[in-house]
This record gives sequence, C-alpha cells and structure tokens, in this order.
Amino acid sequence: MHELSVAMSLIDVITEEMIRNHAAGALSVTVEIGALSGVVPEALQTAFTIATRGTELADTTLRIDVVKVAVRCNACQAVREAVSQSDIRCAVCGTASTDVVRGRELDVVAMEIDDGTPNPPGPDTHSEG
Amino acid sequence: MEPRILQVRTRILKDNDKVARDLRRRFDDAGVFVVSLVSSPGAGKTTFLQKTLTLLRPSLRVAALVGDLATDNDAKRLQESGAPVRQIVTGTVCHLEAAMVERSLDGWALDELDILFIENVGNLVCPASYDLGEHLRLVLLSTTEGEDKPLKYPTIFNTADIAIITKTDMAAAAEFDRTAAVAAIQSVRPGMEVLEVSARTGAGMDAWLTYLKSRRDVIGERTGAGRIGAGQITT
Repeated sequence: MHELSVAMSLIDVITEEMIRNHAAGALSVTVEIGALSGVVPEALQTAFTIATRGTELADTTLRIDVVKVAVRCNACQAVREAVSQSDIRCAVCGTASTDVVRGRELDVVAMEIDDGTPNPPGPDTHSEG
Repeated sequence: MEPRILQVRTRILKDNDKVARDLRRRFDDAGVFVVSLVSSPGAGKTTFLQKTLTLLRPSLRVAALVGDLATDNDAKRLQESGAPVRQIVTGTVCHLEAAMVERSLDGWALDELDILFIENVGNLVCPASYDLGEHLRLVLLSTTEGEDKPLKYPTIFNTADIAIITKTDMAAAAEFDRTAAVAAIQSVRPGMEVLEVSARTGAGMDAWLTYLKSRRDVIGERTGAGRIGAGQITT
C-alpha cells in the first residue's frame, strides 16, 4: 500500500497548482493512472479521502481515468492496445512488443478550480476624509 | 465566480523523479554503477546480494544500501561480506524513495566506489512506482514462489531490466515449473533476459557476474558510471 504516499504527492501537486493559479479552492482533480503504473485506483481514491480529511481539499472530488496499456506493434506498424497489463502483446495480431507507449501514467491532467470570493471588498464607505 | 478548468500534465511523483534524476547524474559523475534489487519478502535478495558482494570484493569496490521496515538484520548479514553497508529503516513505508537513498548517502565518497547495490524493501507492488536513480533494476523470483507471480505483479516485472530466478537448488523439492515461470516473465515483459542462480551452491553466479559486467560496460560507457579506469570485474 503505497497509495497513501502517492496521495500525499498528489496533494503537493494540487497545492502547487492552486498557488500558481491563485485559486481559492479545487472542486475536482482528474488524474490518469496507467494500468502498469503500480497504483490501484480504488486504493488511491480511499487514500486521497483519508489524506485530505480536515484540509482545504476535503471536498475536492478525485476523478481517476485508468489508461490501458498500449504498445508499438512492429508487425502492424502502429500503436495498439495490449492484450492486458500482464500480456504485453498486440491485441490485434498477437505479436509481443518491448515498446510500451501508454499505461505507465501517474499524472494530474486537469483541475477545476474556484477563484474564491467574487469581488474584493470595496472601500470602506464610513471612512473619514 | 464560475469555476474554471485548468489543463495540466504533471507527474504526481515529479518530486521523486527529480531527486532520482539528480542522483543518477551524481552516480554518473562519480563513476559508480548502481543496481537495485526488488522481490517479494523471502525470495532470497539478501543471500544473493551477500554472495554477489563476496565474489566481487577482491577486484571491485562494492557497497550496499539496504531498505528494511524495522530491523537491521539484513544489513548485518550483508556486512559479513566485508563490504560497506548502510541500512535505511523505512518504518511503516513499504518501499524506498529517491530522497531516502539521497539521505543515506551522506558522507559517503561515491567516487571511491565501483558498484553500489540498493536492496529495496521486500515487496512486489510499491517499489515499482519509484525511480531511485539506479542504472539497472533486478527483479528476483524464487523457485519456492508460484510460477505465476509475474502475471500477478506485472508492473514490477515490466519496470525491471532483468529477472533472476533464485534458489534453483530447491527447484525440484518445490516442484518448480521453470517453463511456466519463464513464460510468465515473457508475457509481462517480452524479451526480458532471465538468469537462474543458487546463491547457496554458487550455480549460475558466474553467468550473473558476466551479465553485470557487460551491463556496466554498456551503460557505463554511455553515462560515465563504470568508466574506463575504474575497477574491472573478474569472474
């Protein structure tokens, strides 16, 4: 179970992006998890919920897109889906491939951010002068 | 104000990747070839490494870092080889991260080493996601485990450079199906080289050291790690 470590790194990435974009909050975050990334989506979901509890990201929705393994197939001369993550052959022609082109992702790909209060407070109308 | 969508493409483990890149550069500059070992608990990493260190010691300057959840038992066993060994106690963390390796190198003169081994925590899942800056990653599979381990843990086998089947002296007793094990490895990592060793009897260790030497020459020539003038492996 290293998903908690991954969730902590994910929180760091989200926080950096929020600061960079002057965001007040993040409504949702979308991540791509490759089938060969070594991360289990359900475990990451749970770890994220636990790790964000009581923080400003407690209500942030984590969306996980699982990326299937794809290989460059020499026989087809094309990028093809693999049979499965434990059978790295071209799903079309069955040729084994040493070139995995997708399926190792562990990336943040989108964030839905909130810019905070609509307008800064106006000048104090009761001030003197 | 309406929420807005940011399109980004950021590696979740980018901080680890950066430390690993810096480490690899440091290893290259120091001319030290770095090899990591991963396996399930009990696959024989420590015995294999102990034997490897002992066989390499006469001609090469070797050292090891060993990750362990709680004890320093493995480090003590490796020290019997006479090589310098450092322990990384990971506590509750089930894998090594690049920053742990970086911290554990404090005060070590890397340029006085030829090969540094990093023994990861016994675990076939978590270490797969973390680059440690190594040049070569070995995955070990013992004859006493199920032959379908690679199919159950494809990521770790797919991210490793070579598979080493250990405890071949126990293959008959364990009714180990060699053909099935090699087929499973080839299924998750087509073309992967497979070596078979018994650290206890020494069978297969020559072939392993020859492989190690050739990888060190090839990778070292490209990166500087194991450059000409550094120690030579004699098998």
